[in-house]
Amino acid sequence: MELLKINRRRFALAVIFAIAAVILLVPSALFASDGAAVAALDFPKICLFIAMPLMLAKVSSLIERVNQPAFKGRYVCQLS
Amino acid sequence: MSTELKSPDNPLVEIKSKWFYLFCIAIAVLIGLFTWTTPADPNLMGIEVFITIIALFIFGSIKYRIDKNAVTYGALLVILATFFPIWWPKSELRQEFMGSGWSAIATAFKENILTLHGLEGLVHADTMLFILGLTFFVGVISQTRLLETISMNILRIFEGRIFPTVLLISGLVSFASGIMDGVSMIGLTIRVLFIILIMAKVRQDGIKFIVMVSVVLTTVCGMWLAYGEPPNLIMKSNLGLKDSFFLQYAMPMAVAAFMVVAVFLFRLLRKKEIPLDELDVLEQNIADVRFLRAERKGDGKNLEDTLMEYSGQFGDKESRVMGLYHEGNHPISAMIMAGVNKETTHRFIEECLGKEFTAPVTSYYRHRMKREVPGELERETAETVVIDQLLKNTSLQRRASQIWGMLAFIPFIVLLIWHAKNHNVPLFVSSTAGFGFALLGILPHPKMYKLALREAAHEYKEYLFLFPLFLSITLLTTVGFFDQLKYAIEHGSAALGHAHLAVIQFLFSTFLSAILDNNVVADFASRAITGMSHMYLFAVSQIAGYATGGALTHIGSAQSVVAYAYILRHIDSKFTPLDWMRAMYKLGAVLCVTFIIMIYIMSFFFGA
Repeated sequence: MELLKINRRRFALAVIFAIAAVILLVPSALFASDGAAVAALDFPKICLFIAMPLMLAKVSSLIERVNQPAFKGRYVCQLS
Repeated sequence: MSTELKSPDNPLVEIKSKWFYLFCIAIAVLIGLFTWTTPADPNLMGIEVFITIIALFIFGSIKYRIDKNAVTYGALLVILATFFPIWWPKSELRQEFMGSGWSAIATAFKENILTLHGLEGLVHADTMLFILGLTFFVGVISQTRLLETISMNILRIFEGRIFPTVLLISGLVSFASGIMDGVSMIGLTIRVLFIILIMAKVRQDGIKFIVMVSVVLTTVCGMWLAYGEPPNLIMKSNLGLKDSFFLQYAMPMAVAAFMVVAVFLFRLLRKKEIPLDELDVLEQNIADVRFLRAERKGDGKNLEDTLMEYSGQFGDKESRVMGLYHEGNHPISAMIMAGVNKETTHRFIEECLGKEFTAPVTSYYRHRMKREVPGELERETAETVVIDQLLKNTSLQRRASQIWGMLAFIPFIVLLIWHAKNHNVPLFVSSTAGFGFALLGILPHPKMYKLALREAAHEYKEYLFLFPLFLSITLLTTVGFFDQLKYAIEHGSAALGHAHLAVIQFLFSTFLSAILDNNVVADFASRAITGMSHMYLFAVSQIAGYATGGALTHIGSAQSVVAYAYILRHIDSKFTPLDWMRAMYKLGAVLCVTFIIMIYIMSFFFGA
């Protein structure tokens, strides 16, 4: 139970990662002309795919920062 | 012009890269001037590539050193200057340029440089991106301490008997090395085996030998599938080899090699045992201890590394501490037993584990030293409970990250299988997806996460020198250099018979790879056998050759470089390359004989 609780946010990120990977990969692999998916998976997509885990890591650390009491105290309380 | 590196025993002279680049530019200009109107023979390019490969060996071994990236990137300028006048006058691109102008150049650039397919043909881009993802994937997995956890469980299953424990770990490592990056695997394997062997009080020579055997496990025993070893992937890409080829041809050789290794391990470890009830609390929780260190400090050091750093502070107790440590005592226990002053010991514990551990750990080892005295065992047990409690949260975090480490294998393996079924699916997506999932496991630990990325990036930098070499070998193929080699092999096959020629290729690859990088040997040798009737037999001979050669010397493969550095740093600072060869020649000779017999058997059964 404790393990599940710890892993909750990571599950959410995993789902985002999987959906993004499917959106990037499947059309290239399945619907490319002449079956040349490797050629179809061109440069921007390669870079995006490789950078995706790191971008997710950045998003996660931003969420972490927003959840910190110091952040909430500084911005959320001022707004309210 | 050069920089003297500080090392009292063997001062190395580092030649600055810029001078080497200037030298290469001058040579390239001269070649360009002389060959512009009368192109050189393609053999000149072959000689240039060969000199580059030999220069890598020479300037990586002698007193005068040149950065290997400078050697290959500089040499590429010379090779390009030789290549262009040979290729351009007869090239298709020139014809298209005459007809359509610059748009032909733009199209060629787009097709060859801006697509994965084009880059794969030039520099094995898909393979190198796969290795990139795999390096990061394994880097993250190693932070979850999965191997340490599995190893300690195996030790418990075998009730402390060393031979079956080391054999099973070796088997797992061999299996994993077929799929996971061998260089990362050896880093983990050596560290785990070292701890077990120290605890089992194995002699220093034995520990060194097993560290060297780890190279055989990851290179030779790991050749059963292509994905763990970059040279195997290059072979696969060049020759269009399927996974079934590796399972049919390379796996029997890997299994035979593992059996040879098992015999050597049996002779060394058959009587060794660790009394499990004598393992101290930190040894029993080694995975948590390492996880905690990486989480707190993010420096990738373990207790042994810190002990080496602290050794200068032990004063006249230094030799006693190191002696006790090499007798199988825990570093902290060795420090207390040798009588190192309290402040140093506390600082050491604080650095390795944290301030809250200082009192219970010191007290634990003090009671442990006096176990025979009535009441001391109970006090030791009480401190064990305190330490276990302090490690409880770390243990939970570690298990949470290990779940992700294990889950990451699902997309990794599924995508590998998809690639095996449909080669249009790029290979690199599997390792990148594996890395993405494994990374989720350590995200909540920023220092550990940064450490994993830093270590993986550092490791991948070691592969950058390969890109110019791959490009040079592609250029050699373009100008028809390998047609001549292919012709020689075909004639040799007709004159000697394919079995003898396969054995010659095995021995040649073994020799070459003992002094050169495996990746280059694989790329160079495989181009000469493309499309031949005995291609599979020749391919497996070359694979077995460069894998064996890679373990015979301290520079034969990336793994042997890692293992040699580890021996120098942690076991014997006076260990020489000659000592390596002396320790490995028996195992190497038995492996060579085994493989030669197997090549003849395979040529008999499989024929072509």
